[in-house]
Amino acid sequence: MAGKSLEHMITGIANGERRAFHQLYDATSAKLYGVAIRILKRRELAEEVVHDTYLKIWHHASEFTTTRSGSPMTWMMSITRNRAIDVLRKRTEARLPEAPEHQDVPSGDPDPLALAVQSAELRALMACLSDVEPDHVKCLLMAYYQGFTHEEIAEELGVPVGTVKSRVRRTLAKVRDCLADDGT
Amino acid sequence: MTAHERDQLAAEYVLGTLDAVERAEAARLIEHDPEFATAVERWELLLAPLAEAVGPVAPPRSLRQRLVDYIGDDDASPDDPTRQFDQSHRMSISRRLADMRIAAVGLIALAAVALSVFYALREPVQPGAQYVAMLSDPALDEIGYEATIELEEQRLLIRSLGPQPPANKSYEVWLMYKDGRKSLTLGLVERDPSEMTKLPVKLKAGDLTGKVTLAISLEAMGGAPVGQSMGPLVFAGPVEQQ
Repeated sequence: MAGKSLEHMITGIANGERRAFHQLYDATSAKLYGVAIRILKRRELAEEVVHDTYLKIWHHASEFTTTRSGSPMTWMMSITRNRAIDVLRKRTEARLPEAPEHQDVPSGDPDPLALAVQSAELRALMACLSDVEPDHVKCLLMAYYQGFTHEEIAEELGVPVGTVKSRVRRTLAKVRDCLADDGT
Repeated sequence: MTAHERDQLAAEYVLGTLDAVERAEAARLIEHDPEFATAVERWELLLAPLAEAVGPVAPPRSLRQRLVDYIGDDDASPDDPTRQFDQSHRMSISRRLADMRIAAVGLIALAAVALSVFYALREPVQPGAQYVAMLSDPALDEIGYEATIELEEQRLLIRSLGPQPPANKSYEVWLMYKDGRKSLTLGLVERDPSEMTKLPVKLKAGDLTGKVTLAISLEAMGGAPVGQSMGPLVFAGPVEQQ
């Protein structure tokens, strides 16, 4: 899935080309659905989020620019994650029922196979995280992959909320400084 | 807010650790504070590689079909986008006409039955029943809008106590339920409403009783495209009968 071809598809979508939209969907939907379902744990909610994501792409493709939005996948992933986290927060506030116990959804952990074929950017990020205490990195990954708030991470790990906030902030600062040094 | 605090909030917004209120505040800042919006974009780029580690999961086939139904087929030549639009639009129209002919036969028969059922089952409306909601900004805890719904007349007034949607954005009004019922859109907030307007959907007393919240979301200009909120909730308050 070359970045350039995704860019061409988005340009086509911005020009109203349905074919480009369907090509983009076929090339990227499994990835976006994978991200949404890891955060939401419920297939019907993940489906709604991915549906909304593609409608947003259809309506706002002209706003995509590589200089500000990064790669097409970064842009689409951001839309998906933000929408999924918004739905997760609303769902928590409305206290909707949890997913059925036997519903088959992937775990919240990173996929080992995907990790094995990682880009230079992911390798650089992982190298930065390798210098951070594992407990701290765990907080960051729980938030990124599962959409947990500070409070939820604290509850899950059995540590005070303040500790989680501190761990997350230190890890983020490390990522920012390390990647800035790295020039990425 | 210092540059450091702005950067920290942007990072946690992107990471996803903020609660609903904090996210709503951050989403508002993205619209109003260009430096904050830039910080969010920077963090999106920094953390984006993490998403690579998520393995693909095939979505249900019905999802593609729903999008095709909304956007249209791609059966025209890719070389000529204009022609493509015309062709698929024409095909879509002829398909719709055929469907409409079939549907019309059934609809005529159903209409008489539906009308009699409607009149027999409709809920009695309490004369003059009025519902109000004070919608506050969860981040600032300040009331921004006052809403009044007159059930008998099926009319709505949303009065701003100061806030207005940002340029090129719309505020959309929603009835939201805590019992799993689907949210209902009541349309866009007009910029300077002075009188009551007709509700876009027929509301019954049951739609406004129980734990019902009236909320305003920030949407792209023109509102959410499919009757489902796409943006953050910026004002909300419980619906109460007067």
